[in-house]
Amino acid sequence: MEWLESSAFAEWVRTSFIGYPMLLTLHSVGMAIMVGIMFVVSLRLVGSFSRLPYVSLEKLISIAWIGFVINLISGAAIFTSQATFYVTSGPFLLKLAAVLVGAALAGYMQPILRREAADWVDSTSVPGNARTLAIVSIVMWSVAITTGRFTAYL
Amino acid sequence: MSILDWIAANLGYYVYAFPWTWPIMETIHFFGLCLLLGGLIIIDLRLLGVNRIIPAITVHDLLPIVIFGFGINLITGVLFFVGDPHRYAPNIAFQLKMVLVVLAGLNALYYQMNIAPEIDGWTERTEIPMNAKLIGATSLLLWFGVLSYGRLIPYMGTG
Repeated sequence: MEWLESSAFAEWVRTSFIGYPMLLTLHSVGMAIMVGIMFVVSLRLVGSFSRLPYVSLEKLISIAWIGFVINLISGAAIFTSQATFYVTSGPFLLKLAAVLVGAALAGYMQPILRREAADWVDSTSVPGNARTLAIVSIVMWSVAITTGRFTAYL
Repeated sequence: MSILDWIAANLGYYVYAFPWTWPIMETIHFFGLCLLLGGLIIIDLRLLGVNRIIPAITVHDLLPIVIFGFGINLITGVLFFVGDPHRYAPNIAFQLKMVLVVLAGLNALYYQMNIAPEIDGWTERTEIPMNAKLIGATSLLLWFGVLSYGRLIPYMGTG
């Protein structure tokens, strides 16, 4: 971690005029895409937006991954700037865990939606476990937003 | 005494009344932006012809969370301003953000008046009118601009 933090790249992120603000901005853009779309997909599975077709959710998750990739890259770059701090930060480690579970859920739900969503005619035909996973997804992304913000304060 | 002094002296205190007010408000502001942008990305992409599998009219089901997200952020945003008016008012990123919010509002108004009434009949194969595509693209650009300038407020200095 010390090695990472003392790298030339980490130094650039810390000190350049545009490096850190640009990465934070990219990270908020990626969050809006990934978390925003996953909130919509998850809320749809628990019964909201009743006219939005279930078959479209798998495609929406594909778009959400764009945000995830933006944040994987921008997040890794921000991490290098203060690596020794982040690995000891409780909120950050909790955020990392929530993001990993949230992303794993999105990856798990996508092929299920691709295979089965065409057969779901209304909210009663959505399997109970899909609803449960949707609720866990909402909780994970909510934890990720909250702990991410509090990483800057605690 | 300027209006900013008055706000800072008479109202700002309440925003700071509890030690965790500021990060909690920021967290709520982030939830609001995710709901606002999450719904809008889907609506605007459909206007651009992405995910034609979604019947165009059904994206209007997402408007309540978009408006809810905007409402949350209007309230928390006003509280930020009240809590620290001398920081926000002269800040160039904040000023640009407010300009973009107003433009996005006008864009939404144009959508409501000229495009929303038309999309009921759109099918998967309907050729999307150029003005609808432009409105969708403009909306995405403006709102991601709002998000970016908002995030840059602490870094773009004042004046």
